[in-house]
Amino acid sequence: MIERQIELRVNGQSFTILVKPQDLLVDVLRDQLGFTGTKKGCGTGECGACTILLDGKPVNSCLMPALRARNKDIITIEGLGTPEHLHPLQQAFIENAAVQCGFCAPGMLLSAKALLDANSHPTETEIRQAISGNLCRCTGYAKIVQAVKAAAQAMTQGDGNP
Amino acid sequence: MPSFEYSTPTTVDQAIALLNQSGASALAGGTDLLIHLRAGIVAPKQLVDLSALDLNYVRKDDGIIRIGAMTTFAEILDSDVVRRDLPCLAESAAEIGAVQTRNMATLGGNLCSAVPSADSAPPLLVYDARVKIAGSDGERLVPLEQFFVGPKKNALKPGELLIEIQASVPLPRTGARFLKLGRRKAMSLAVVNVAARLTLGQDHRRVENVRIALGAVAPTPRRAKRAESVLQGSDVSESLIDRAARAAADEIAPISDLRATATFRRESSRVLVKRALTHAWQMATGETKPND
Amino acid sequence: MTHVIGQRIPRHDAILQVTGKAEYGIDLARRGMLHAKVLRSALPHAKLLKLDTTRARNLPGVAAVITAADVPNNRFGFTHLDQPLLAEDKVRYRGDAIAAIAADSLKTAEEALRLIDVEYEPLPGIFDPVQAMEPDAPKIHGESNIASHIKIRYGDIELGWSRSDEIVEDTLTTQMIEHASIEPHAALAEVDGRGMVTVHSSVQRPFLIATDLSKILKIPLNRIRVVVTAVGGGFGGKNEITMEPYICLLALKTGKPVKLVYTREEEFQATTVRHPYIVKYKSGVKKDGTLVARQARIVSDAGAYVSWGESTLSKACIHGAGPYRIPNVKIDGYLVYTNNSIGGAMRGFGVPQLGFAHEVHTDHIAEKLGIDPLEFRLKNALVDGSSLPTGQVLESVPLKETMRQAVQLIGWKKEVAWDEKAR
Ligand SMILES: Cc1cc2nc3c(=O)[nH]c(=O)nc-3n(C[C@H](O)[C@H](O)[C@H](O)COP(=O)(O)OP(=O)(O)OC[C@H]3O[C@@H](n4cnc5c(N)ncnc54)[C@H](O)[C@@H]3O)c2cc1C
Ligand code: FES
Ligand code: FES
Repeated sequence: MIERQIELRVNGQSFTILVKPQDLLVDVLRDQLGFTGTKKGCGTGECGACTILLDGKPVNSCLMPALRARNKDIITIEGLGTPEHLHPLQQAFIENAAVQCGFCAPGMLLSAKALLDANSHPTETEIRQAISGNLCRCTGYAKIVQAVKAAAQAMTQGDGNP
Repeated sequence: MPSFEYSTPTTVDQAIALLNQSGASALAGGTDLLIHLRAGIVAPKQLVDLSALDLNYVRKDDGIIRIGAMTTFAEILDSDVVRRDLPCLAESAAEIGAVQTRNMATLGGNLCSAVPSADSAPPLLVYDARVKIAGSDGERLVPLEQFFVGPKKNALKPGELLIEIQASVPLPRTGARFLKLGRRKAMSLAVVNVAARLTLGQDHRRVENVRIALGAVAPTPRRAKRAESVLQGSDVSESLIDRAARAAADEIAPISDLRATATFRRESSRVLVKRALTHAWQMATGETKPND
Repeated sequence: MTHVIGQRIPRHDAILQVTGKAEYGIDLARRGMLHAKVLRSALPHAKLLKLDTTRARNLPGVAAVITAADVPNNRFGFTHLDQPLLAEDKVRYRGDAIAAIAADSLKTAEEALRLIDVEYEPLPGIFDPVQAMEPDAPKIHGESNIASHIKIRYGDIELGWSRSDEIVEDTLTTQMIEHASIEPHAALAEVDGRGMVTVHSSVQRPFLIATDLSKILKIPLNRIRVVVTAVGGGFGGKNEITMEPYICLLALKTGKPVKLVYTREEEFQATTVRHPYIVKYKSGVKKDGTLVARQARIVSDAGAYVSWGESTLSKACIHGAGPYRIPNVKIDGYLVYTNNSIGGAMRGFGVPQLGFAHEVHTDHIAEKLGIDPLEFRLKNALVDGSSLPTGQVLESVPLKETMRQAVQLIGWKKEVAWDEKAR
């Protein structure tokens, strides 16, 4: 199969790479570009571990040919925050014990980010709906919901809203 | 993943030309197709990516709502036109998969998959939707009811493309409701899904027009016409709705599979039809607003 | 010592987990590594008539193919050495491994799988453990499908029946459960110039894995190192060896690092599950609610191999009478081979199945006697100094206090207002 040269924009950085039509975005991100923070738990859109933001929206990178991501902005967990500069969501996940094995965390955090970007004061139901495409086998979700609430509060402190 | 060629046409004509080549398959959101590819259920030689066609839109002109086949369920949920005029479709969009799925999956893909459980089918059936199909011989408009021809079989001929879904703006005093029963609240295909629409006369009692459609209880999504005839032309009442719900449960042909038994599906269908009709009635009389 | 009790201490690795920097099994990579795949039986029970790997070996990009003949010691198991690493003459369930491949890419390895020629002679399968106990049932290993029978006898069961006013019987069944940790099993093996084998694996019990590897590979334990990666969920499912021996053998054969990640489908098919149990209870009680006799017959579906089946069943039998003082007890646990997926360790190790069964049974007895189910439990609950049917004398048993506190906390018997909106 012919390989094509494409440009992928990941976390604000451009990469020129060769991909085959059947190469999935999740594999290209992980194996070719080294963004192994994006996880893979099923390959069939069920678990959400491979969630990335494509032009700001959460999608399953395991169901997307890499060719599809041309000319779009991709955010992976590596683009959310670093150990030195944690995003408030990451901070809240640590403080509220919302991670156990942590395998769901990258996808969970990106789904939560997309939610807070669109809705700075989500209700519990809205939080639960936003993460309903991200399975967690360890935590039972309660701590995750709590962490997202805490992050929302931390992020809106000082903007005049309660 | 098996290997294949990939093209991204920018016009419908180009896409049709490509789809006419042997072994070509249309790629919309990919949420069905990629899974089938991975499992080896299909092995196309070429994928024709429809994302660069101008088929992402919701428009309203002359009382007709037109939805481009490539419109995602997230976009449908965001559309004021759909939420106001076709609330039942918005309700079904909200129930598809999860956020990630809705950001990728398209309305056209859902209908083309033609699975009995496709969530957008019952709402569009009760809105008497038509689908616009384009092929090398030009375009044709097909009532949605005739689009589903069997389990996973649609009325597209090889090389044809579904390009648009059309529905008329409902008349005043219309209420509609979609209800889905799944094994879980999210990420779950329907055990049964139901849509019902009621349009009342000026007296707010007589049923001028009624549609009831169900999914996952027959080889294709289908209308329950005997149930509709119970209500058509009569004064709506609780007992009549009850009778219609029983008629719907009688005329479907559910099967037992890994999601539910036939008996459970039949009984659930009765309950869901009853609830959907009751909601639609309340909405038609102005007692409730959509999405209440 | 720092004081930690009562404090909120964040996980030391949480910062790596939330930034995507934790290295899980699936993230392992080495320059020039090979990718492995395992060929699994297409049938639940069959004789292997022919196994020809020539076409797969000849596929460009394939570095090695191994079959049973390449395994130094092709038998493993925790209590029963009944499981071949790669099938020899017969396959016993749909996940049974037949051959393993290492190739330069995953795609080549997948292609090579399809080039292995296998001929089967189907044998009748048996999927119901109770039927499998019948003398004329098809045999999966040797002469009998009963892999073990565990007995506990305490007091005099006949005397117990004779002193009972009422006898209650129930049969309860539990289903097969897959752990479904979100990270699938994943590992990488490498061999250094001195022949030292290192396996990096997403596992829960590295020392057990090393011991088993040493036996299978016939390499001394001091030449094997198992390094645990970040583990994306285990729940007991990453308790025993799965893929490690294949990749070690392939790495030894090729001299290159070899990585293997199971697909989600393989997770369901070829890794262990929680054993389904069929539990028959018979209990004798006095009118006042005093338990005097209990008999339990537990049938555990082992699947094709014993693995942790006997150990989980022993634990289930120890807990078989439930947390009650009963003077006359008879427990029989049967571990039975079937052509189903292999049962293994999972959270609670055989006890959750029994917990479900004895508590449903307990409710049933209370209902029959017309006694409040809480009162009935409090009356019979284990206390300090009680003896289990195994003879073990218990110390410090705050069961009654726990029940009393629990009923307060959950508002037992209080009217619960149903709030639709809150759900
Ligand atoms: C995790 C998950 C959850 C899901 N949940 C639901 C659910 O709750 N309810 C539900 O109904 N479905 C669900 N689905 C199924 C699927 O997402 C939907 O059917 C979806 O709408 C398919 O659309 P798509 O754009 O992804 O189609 P694709 O996968 O791209 O295409 C599906 C099929 O239709 C053909 N096709 C697509 N568009 C056209 C066109 N315009 N013209 C001609 N042929 C076309 C393709 O060739 C292909 O054969 C789920 C799927 C996943 C992975
Ligand atoms: S790996 Fe993509 S959803 Fe599970
Ligand atoms: S923390 Fe383990 S899956 Fe969520």
